[in-house]
Amino acid sequence: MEWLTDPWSSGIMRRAFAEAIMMGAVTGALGCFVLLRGLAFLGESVAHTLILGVVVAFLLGGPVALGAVGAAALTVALSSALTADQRFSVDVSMGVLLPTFFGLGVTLIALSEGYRSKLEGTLFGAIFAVTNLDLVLAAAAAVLAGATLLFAGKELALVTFDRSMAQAMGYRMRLLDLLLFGVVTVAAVVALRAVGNVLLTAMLLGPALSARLLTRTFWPMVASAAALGTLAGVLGLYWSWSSDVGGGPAIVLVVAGLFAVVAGGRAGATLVR
Amino acid sequence: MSLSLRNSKVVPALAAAGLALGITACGGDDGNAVSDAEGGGVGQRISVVATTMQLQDFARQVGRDRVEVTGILGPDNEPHEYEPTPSDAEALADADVVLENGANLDEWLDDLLSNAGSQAQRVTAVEGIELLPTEEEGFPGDPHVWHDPEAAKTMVDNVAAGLAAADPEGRATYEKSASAYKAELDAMAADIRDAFEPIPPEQRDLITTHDAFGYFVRAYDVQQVGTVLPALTTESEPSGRQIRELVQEIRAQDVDVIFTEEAVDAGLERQIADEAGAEVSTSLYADVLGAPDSGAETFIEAELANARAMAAAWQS
Repeated sequence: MEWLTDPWSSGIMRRAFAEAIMMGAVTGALGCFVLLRGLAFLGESVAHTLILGVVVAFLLGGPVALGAVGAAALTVALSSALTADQRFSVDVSMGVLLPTFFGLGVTLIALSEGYRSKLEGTLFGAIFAVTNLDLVLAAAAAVLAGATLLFAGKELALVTFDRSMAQAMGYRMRLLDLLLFGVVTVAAVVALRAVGNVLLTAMLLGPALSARLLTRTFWPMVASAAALGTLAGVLGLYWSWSSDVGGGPAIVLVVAGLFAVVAGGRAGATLVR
Repeated sequence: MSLSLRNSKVVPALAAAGLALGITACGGDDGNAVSDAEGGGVGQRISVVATTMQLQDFARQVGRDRVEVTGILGPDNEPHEYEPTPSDAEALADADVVLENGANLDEWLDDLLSNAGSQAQRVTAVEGIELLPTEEEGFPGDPHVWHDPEAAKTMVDNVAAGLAAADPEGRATYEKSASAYKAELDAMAADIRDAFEPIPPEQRDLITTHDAFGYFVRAYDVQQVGTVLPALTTESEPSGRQIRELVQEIRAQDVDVIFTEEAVDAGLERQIADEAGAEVSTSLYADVLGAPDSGAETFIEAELANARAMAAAWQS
């Protein structure tokens, strides 16, 4: 039983666990909305927009997570302004803003080439370097995501499933879209710290995909995805604790492994029937 | 960026020198016009491009005023992950001599040279030096050779030979300044050994960001306890197990200070140090030399600064 408790004796591991659990739950739950809206692109592009914030924070010497939050807030604000007269949808505004931000970020990286090696660590995540400030931000993101689902979950779900129905019922579609994109962006900031920019999409979509196969209705799917995301975070860190696999990669590989088990199990069950 | 700035200053200066000597440089074909100008002084300089900062310094020490040294790596560049820029290719295209470390530290130079279509004399500085073995794949041996003062002297000889091959008239100058500089390296090594003298070898515990000090450890009787990054390069993320083992080792050896390099983010090192009850020092120059005004702009200053930082950590 020692292998079970051992990792928790390390402060680095305790912080990594806390980060992974919060990240897994938040990205898992919100990933369901992203998946069902067919917005797999969103996760990827949100990851890209954050680069600008990360680079600016880095150049100014501030906390990277705050830079990412700033970039996220700016994205949502500009998207809101762009869509104000209803000529563009929120998706389109994101499609314009995110590559622009990414381009700016990459340009800044190129101009400050000496910082490249430091930045790469940031972009690929470093879950064992998580600080207490990172945990506070992750907790705030989790609270925000939880509150959003609690108070606007029903509306968000309807917008996700049946846009015309939601529109007919007089929902403020634009506001709800912005809300969803806003919380997904915040979740991405948390995942950025844990698994980095490149693996972020896997955290957003992987648990949601598995949950989609396991459940028939929406809210159980959201709950299972959150649980699977958390499970992957914890199992991945246990794996990394007892192997030479880095923390972020281990978590993402467990996400993929869980999906393989679920998909395989389902295929097997269909064959038996 | 600094490259093009430097060139743009040099070219007018050279043109002016040419005019002063009464040479009519029609059309301003700068490169050839300058090397054709006989008679000593600025016009004689051969153009040397060096990858690492150590080699840039060696080239200046050996070449003195016969060479114009252009560096590729600066104080903020990790040699292991450097991405060459167009201005690097430009500098290489005009170079008479190209100095590389070798042992795969600067293997990106190959592509750069073929892209630049360079005809330069190419010097591999680690040639003739027996490399320490490394577990890392893709490396013929540990490339951080310069931290061994004897090997550094061989590198200086290789640099001098390369410069002399490209500029035979300067051979005597190069050989003379190389032997003077090698004497300075001997004095540096003696200073470092003196600084370490009061500390028993078993208390000289070194933990660094990556395995860059293998030669230093061997040359000066230091114990390498561990490295934060498992691999030789600065690119990979360590696993939970590697962190756990390192923390255990730091505690077991009672290490007080973890050294990181200027060019690498120290976030992870700080976490590990916290957990093991040690401190983080960012004062070592492993792969690069110091920035201007850091007091470690030359190779010798940087090595002495490393030794002082280590000695201070062991004595505290």
